[in-house]
Amino acid sequence: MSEPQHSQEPVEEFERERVPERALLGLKSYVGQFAGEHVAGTELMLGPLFLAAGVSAFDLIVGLLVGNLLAVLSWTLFTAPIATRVRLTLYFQLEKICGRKLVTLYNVANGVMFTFLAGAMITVSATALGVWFKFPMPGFGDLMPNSLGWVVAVLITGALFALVAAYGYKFVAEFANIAVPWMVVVFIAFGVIGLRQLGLTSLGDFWLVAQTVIWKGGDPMPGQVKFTFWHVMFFAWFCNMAWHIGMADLSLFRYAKKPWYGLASASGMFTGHYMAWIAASILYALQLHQDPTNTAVLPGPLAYRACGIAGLLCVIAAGWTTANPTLYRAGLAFQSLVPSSSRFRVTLLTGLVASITAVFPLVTMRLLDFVALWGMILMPMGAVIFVDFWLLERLGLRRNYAEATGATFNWAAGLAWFLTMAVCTVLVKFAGVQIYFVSLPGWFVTAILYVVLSRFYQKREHP
Amino acid sequence: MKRIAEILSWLALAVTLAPACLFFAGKLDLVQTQAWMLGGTALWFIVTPFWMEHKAS
Repeated sequence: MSEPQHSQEPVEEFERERVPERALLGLKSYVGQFAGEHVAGTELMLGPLFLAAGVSAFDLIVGLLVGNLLAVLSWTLFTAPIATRVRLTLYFQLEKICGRKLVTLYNVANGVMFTFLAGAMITVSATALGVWFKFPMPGFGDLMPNSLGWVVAVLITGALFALVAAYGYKFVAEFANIAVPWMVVVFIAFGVIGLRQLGLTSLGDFWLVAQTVIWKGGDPMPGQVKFTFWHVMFFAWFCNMAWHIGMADLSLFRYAKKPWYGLASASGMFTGHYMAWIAASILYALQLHQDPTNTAVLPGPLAYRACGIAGLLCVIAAGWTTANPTLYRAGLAFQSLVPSSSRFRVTLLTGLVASITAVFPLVTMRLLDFVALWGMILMPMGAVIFVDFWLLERLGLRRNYAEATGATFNWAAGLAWFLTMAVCTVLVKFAGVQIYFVSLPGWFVTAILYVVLSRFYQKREHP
Repeated sequence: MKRIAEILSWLALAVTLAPACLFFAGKLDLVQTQAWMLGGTALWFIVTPFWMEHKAS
C-alpha cells in the first residue's frame, strides 16, 4: 500500500486537533519510518563504545536482543495505545495536562538535548573528512579538539548541515528516504568485511571468533564503565526512552490505524540498534586487532578501512540525514519560545551552537552516558501522561487538568518532573546507581509523585 | 521505465552487498570489493529517485 498524500508532511497537520479517520496510516509507513530513523550516524559511535566498555560476546548479543525487544514492547504497550486513543501530538497532549508554560519548559529541555545530539552527528560526519584531508582527529576519551584542521572541518560540516536544515529540510528528508536501504546494506557490509578481516572464514566459527577476538570481555578502557548484560540490556531498552516511555512518539503513532503498529518499531531496533551496532563494533574490534594502540573511535577511518569510499559516503550520509531532522526539531523547539521569530534564523543559530559543541568531542565520546541522560530527563513527562490517561480518573482526580481549569503551569506535573530529576541525580551521584539503570525507578517515582501531588494540588486549586 | 529503474535499484543493492560476501568467501580482494561497492552505490543513487516514493516525513 502506498502512503496517502496527506502523509507527506504529517508533522505539520492536525497539530491542535484529533487526527481524522481519513488521515490514518498503515503498518508499512511505520516499518519504513522506523527503519529510516534508527540507522543513524551515531550508531557508528555506539557500537565501538560497547567494545570500549569491555563487553563480552554473550552480554552484547543477548543483551541487545532482550533490550531491543523491551523497547519494541514499550512502543507497543505504552506509547501506541494512548496515541491511537487520543490521536494528538505529544505537545498538545502535554499542554492539556501541564499547561502552556510547562510545555514550553519541556520544549527547551528537548531542544537542548536535540542540539547536543546534532552536534554528535556533525562530529561523526566530520571524521569522514579527516580521512580525505588527513588532519589529526581526537583520540579515544579526548574531550578537547586537538588540531586546527579538526576545528575547521567540524565548523564547515556544521555550517553546511545548519544551512541545509534551515533552507532545504525537505530535500534532505527526501534524500534520506532514498538513502536508507543503501545505508542498511553498507552497514551489513561493514560487519561481513570486518568479520573476514578478523579471521572468520566459516560462519560456523562465528561464536568462537566473537568470544575470543571481538567481544572478549575483561576490563573496560580507562575512563569507561564496565558493561555487563544488564548494562547492555538497559541501554538498548532506554536509549530511545524519550520516544517510547517518554511518549514523544505519541505524535508519530497518532496516525496509526491500530495500537499494535508499535511492533513496527522492531524494524528500526533490529536494523539500527542491533545489526548496525554489532557491525560498527566489529569494525572497531578490527582496528584494535590490527593496532592495539589505536583506540580512537572515529567512524570515518573505521568505515573507510572496510568499505572504502562507499563506507565514507555512508558515514557522511548517516550523519547528515539524521542531523538534518534533529537540527530542524531543535529549531522548532526553540522557536516555540518566541513564536514570532524566524524558524530559518533559529535553525541556523541552533546549528551554530551544535557545531561549536561538535568541536569538543565530549558528547560524542560520552555518547552512552548522554543518551541515558536524555532518557532520564524526558522520561518523567511520559510517566505523567501515562498516569494522567490511565489512572487519574479512577483515583477520583481530574484528567487533562490544565485544559479543564485553564492553568498554564500544572505544578503537580512540574514538581513531579523536577523532583524525579532530583531523586535520580541523588541516586546517581550519591547512591551508586549508574545512569543506565536510574530511569526505571525514576518512572515509578514520577508516577507516585504525580498522583500524590495532583491530589493536593487539585484539591487546593479547585476543591 | 519505472519498472526498469526499480530492477536496476535492486541490482545496485546486490552489487553493493555481494562483493562483501565474495570477500568473505575469499573470491575478491579488498580493493576489488571496495570498487564494486562504490559502483553499486553510484548506481543506487542514480536510478532509485526515478521510482522510489521519497516524500519528506
